[in-house]
Amino acid sequence: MTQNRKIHAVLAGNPNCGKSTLFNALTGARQTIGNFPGVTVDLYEGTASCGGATIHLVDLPGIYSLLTYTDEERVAAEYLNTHRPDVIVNVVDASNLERNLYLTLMLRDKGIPMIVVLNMIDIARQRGSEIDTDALARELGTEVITTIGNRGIGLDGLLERIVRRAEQPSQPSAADTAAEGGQPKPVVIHDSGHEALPVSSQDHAEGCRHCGDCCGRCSNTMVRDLERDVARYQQIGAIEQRCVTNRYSARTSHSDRFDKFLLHRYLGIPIFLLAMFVVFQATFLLGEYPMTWIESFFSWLTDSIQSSYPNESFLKSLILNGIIGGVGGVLVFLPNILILFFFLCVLEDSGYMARAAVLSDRWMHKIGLHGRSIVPLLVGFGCTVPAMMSARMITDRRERLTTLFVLPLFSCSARFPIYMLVIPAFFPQVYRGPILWLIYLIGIIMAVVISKGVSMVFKKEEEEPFMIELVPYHRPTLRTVGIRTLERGWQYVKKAGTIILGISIILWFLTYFPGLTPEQKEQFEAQRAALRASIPSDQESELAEKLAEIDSAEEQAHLSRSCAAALGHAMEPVLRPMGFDWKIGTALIGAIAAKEVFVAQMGIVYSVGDAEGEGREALTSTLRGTYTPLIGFCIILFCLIASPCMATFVMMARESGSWKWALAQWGTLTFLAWVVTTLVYQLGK
Amino acid sequence: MSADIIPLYRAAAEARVTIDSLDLGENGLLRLSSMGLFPGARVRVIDNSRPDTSIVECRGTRLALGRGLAHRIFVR
Repeated sequence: MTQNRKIHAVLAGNPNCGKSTLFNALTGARQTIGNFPGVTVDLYEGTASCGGATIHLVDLPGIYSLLTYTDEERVAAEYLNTHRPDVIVNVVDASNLERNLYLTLMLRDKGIPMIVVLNMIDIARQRGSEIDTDALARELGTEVITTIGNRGIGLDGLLERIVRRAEQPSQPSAADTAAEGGQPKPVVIHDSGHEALPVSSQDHAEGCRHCGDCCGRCSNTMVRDLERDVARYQQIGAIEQRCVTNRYSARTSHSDRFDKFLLHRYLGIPIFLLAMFVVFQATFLLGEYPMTWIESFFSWLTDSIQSSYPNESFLKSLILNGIIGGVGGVLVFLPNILILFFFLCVLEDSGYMARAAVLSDRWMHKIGLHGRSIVPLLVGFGCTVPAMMSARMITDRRERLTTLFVLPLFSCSARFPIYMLVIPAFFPQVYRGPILWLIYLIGIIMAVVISKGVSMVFKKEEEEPFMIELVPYHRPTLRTVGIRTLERGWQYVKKAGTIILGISIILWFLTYFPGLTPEQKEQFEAQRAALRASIPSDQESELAEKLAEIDSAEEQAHLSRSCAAALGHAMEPVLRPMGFDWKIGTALIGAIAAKEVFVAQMGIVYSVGDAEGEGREALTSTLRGTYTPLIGFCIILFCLIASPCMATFVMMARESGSWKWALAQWGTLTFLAWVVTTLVYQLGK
Repeated sequence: MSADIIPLYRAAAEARVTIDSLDLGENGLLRLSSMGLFPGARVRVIDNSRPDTSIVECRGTRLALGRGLAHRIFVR
């Protein structure tokens, strides 16, 4: 009966109920991320097979209700309505039954076959609450099973139950019938009428309380929704009374003890900054090793190509400088990105990020932002593009726009390659970590200053209530963190593989054409021939050295006759005050498209991607020989502040709803970068 | 019934209070009510010492409420 059957199941549940852990355990690596059309909430999809049936499993975003208040809720609600899955697997945090069952009741009202999974049952037991699952199943009219997701306990039977549940025709349960077609009984509220809801001192609600039918201005639906909520919680209270024993044990958990420090009035912020500092230091130190391996691979690849095809040609230059130079130069930084994301994921999963939002609310508030802005801002350290997407959870438009505006100042991982190239080139090991930290800090300070300014442009609308759940701290599972880290890394690689490659080729084109005239080429050939004739063949090393000098001179000559050079030269009057020359300017043109292209472009400008095969080493030493540490610092400072990348520009236009905003952001930040960098250079000189 | 009605942020730590009313717009009200915060709900105050945030427990959930919010929730 189950042969080749396709079953469509969704996982739904509150945030932090262990849903993702369960999803990862059920689907393993067979996952894809789909974006819901119109909004930017990620939907994770995966497959699992069980007894000949293929289960297509979708992990809905974590939500508290189906009220469509946030994008996550809207996506979940719309998904259930439009896709009508065969089974809903409602993951419930067993240690927090009361709040979780609220969503359960809402989901049950959808009339889709459902399985309730009481996850983290071990924590519930630790807290001294015993749940009678049979009684709960009767009350809810659904199957109820228990699991401990992070230890993989109870998962075996889940897939089978999904298959079985999908095969059963949906039958109204006893509870459904009792509650009149799945709606919770609103009896109690109707008895006491609106008096039970002195909801607001606002006049329209006052009106409601007194007039029999509604004043029309206030929403009848709002009152009805509120009544329904009250009724649901009453129903939950009754369910709990019948199914849970010992349900209240006043707990001073280890979370409270941690919070005493981590949320401390004065210590909280320094601890947060310290944590970030440690994360960045670790990223730097641990990333060193795999970076070296990747570098060796690419230099081996370059060498092999170089030796197999000794003749200079258009195609060889394209492959070596455009493709390998571009992609290789970006891939080299993958270890750092993975390590950074790993730590950020750990912080997020452990429950600390919610505390970070609480800690920052006060300061965010002062600069016209919302405590919830901290999440996009922290994601912004990874990549501004997803950060801008995650800013959608800030429902207040003014606060969202401000957050969007300052997001590019939170140094994204694409700027990291620039720092990793420039900082080691100019600064000794002991200063590298602190300088990196300083550059991130400068970004944050600039963001504060700008958002203060931006928030003054807008008028304040109705204030958004700041409310955030403080989940108990828990140890993140390696699997969940690992999968998410790899997935972020993969997103970076995909970007590197497509957009960056394209840009890298265009830029290579700019540096390659129009190039030397045939006469000029002949001149260099003549020099080589003269050299070969003058130096006896037994002094090979001397010959090679001299030839390399000519090669290098030819490359320089070639570049100085390219489109990029022309652009770089044209920009020189603007670049001079910052201490930059046209070569840096040429690389900055690349950085306009995508920040990480700067590195690849510097490699091409200095033509170090090929000859020696140790491109990066050579580039580092070339930079060290050409510029001062002050200029080095100015480069990273400018790259930090100036011109958000093309993807960010497009995203800003989309998320703010206007190209004007995107242009304003681009122009303002670039101008600001110029002013700040010029100041630093002129003062530092 | 005769107990004083005070804004939530002025309640003492460890106090168990009942929500009397909420002075919020429609969205705010609905959002809070979906979390079970509506008149009649019992709330345990965990920490009110921070100037900017009230930390409370309601229905087994630890919640941090911004200062704006804690000023607009009235409890007894």
